[in-house]
Amino acid sequence: MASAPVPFNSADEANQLARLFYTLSQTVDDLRLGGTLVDATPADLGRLKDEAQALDNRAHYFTAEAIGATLLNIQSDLANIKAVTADAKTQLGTLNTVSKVIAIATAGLGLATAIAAGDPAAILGAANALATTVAA
Amino acid sequence: MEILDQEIMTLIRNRTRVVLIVVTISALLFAGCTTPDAVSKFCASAATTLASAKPVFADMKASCMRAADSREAIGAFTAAADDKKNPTMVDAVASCNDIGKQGDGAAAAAAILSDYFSAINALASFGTAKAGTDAGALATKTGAALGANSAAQTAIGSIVGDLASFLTSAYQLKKLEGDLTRVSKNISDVSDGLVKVIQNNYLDQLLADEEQKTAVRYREFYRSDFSPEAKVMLDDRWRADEAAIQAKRASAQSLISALQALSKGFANLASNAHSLKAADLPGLLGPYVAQIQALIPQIQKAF
Repeated sequence: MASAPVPFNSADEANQLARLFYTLSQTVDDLRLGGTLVDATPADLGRLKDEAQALDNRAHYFTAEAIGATLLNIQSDLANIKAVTADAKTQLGTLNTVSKVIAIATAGLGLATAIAAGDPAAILGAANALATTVAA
Repeated sequence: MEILDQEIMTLIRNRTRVVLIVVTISALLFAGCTTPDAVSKFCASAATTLASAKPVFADMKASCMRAADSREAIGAFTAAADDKKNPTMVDAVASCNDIGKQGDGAAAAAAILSDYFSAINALASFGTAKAGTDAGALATKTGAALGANSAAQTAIGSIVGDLASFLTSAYQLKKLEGDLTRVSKNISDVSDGLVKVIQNNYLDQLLADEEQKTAVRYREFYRSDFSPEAKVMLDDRWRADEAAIQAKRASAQSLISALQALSKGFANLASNAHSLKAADLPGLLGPYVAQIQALIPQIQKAF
């Protein structure tokens, strides 16, 4: 039975390519500065330096690709976190207003009347009604 | 008559307090046991850690540019960004700009996480006791405006204060639990992603490349027939550059440790949000908070 294909992991592959090109760039620099090249002219050494930089540029390209792939993988996570953050801010707003709403509502006819009448059952009913509103 | 009114109001208030206490205890038992104060401290540390990440991600492009600058010979007095006649250097600057864009993306991800922890911190820090006091004071004034006598005003203020504290506390606890558990896996995934970017791309690639290219620049300039003094000066200059790179490396590694502690601490908190007793929370989160707070100055050292 054929094995399942390995899923493409663009961040890992981009990282492998980046490492390869960084190594190639450094190898060329080591070569031109190592003193082992025979009959290398200054122009030759200059071209080798340029080549090492070109390899470094390519490595940077793959580094950028790898970072982009990693960030792409977490986009749905970030979207959910943003949604929950918005909810938490709304909940804080509710807490800030609910205490004032409770004060005015209960000082109004409903609970104040029940308190003045000395009716604990009515007081509890009014309190539970408020609890339901806040929990919604 | 006035004394009788006062006695009646005291009796009403005491009976209502008993009712409210019973209802409060019942509601709290069913609303879950997350202690807001312990949550608040953890979230505040997490938000500070994530804010400290921004300069690290900004240094990704800066490191790339420093490596490109090192390709300009000593004595050329030219920055890579100004070397527009050399197409290879023009490409080098463009590749660093690409890295800069991705670094901005990583910083934005850290900011989203930081915003979350700040929002949870604010929710957890909401003073339900103060809400009760404020509500009670407002109720007293409103009662006065509606013509209640002074004893009734006092009773109303006191009862409303207890009621507001109870209701806001129950609401706060219920919402905190939901907000923690809904993003449990997301926080872990994003933290892991940011750690990968810092370790794989910043430390192992960009900073390592900058370190090698910096050494290449000094090797290129060095001549064996330099005077001993010149050799020492060159060596000192290279060591200073190397020390700056090592400092950035150490700070970035501290950031990784802090992000990992943040992730583990949050995973523990979220997985236990429904069943953990309030008294256990400071002990559970305390070590992570202490570790993160110790790491924050290390992160900020080099940036």
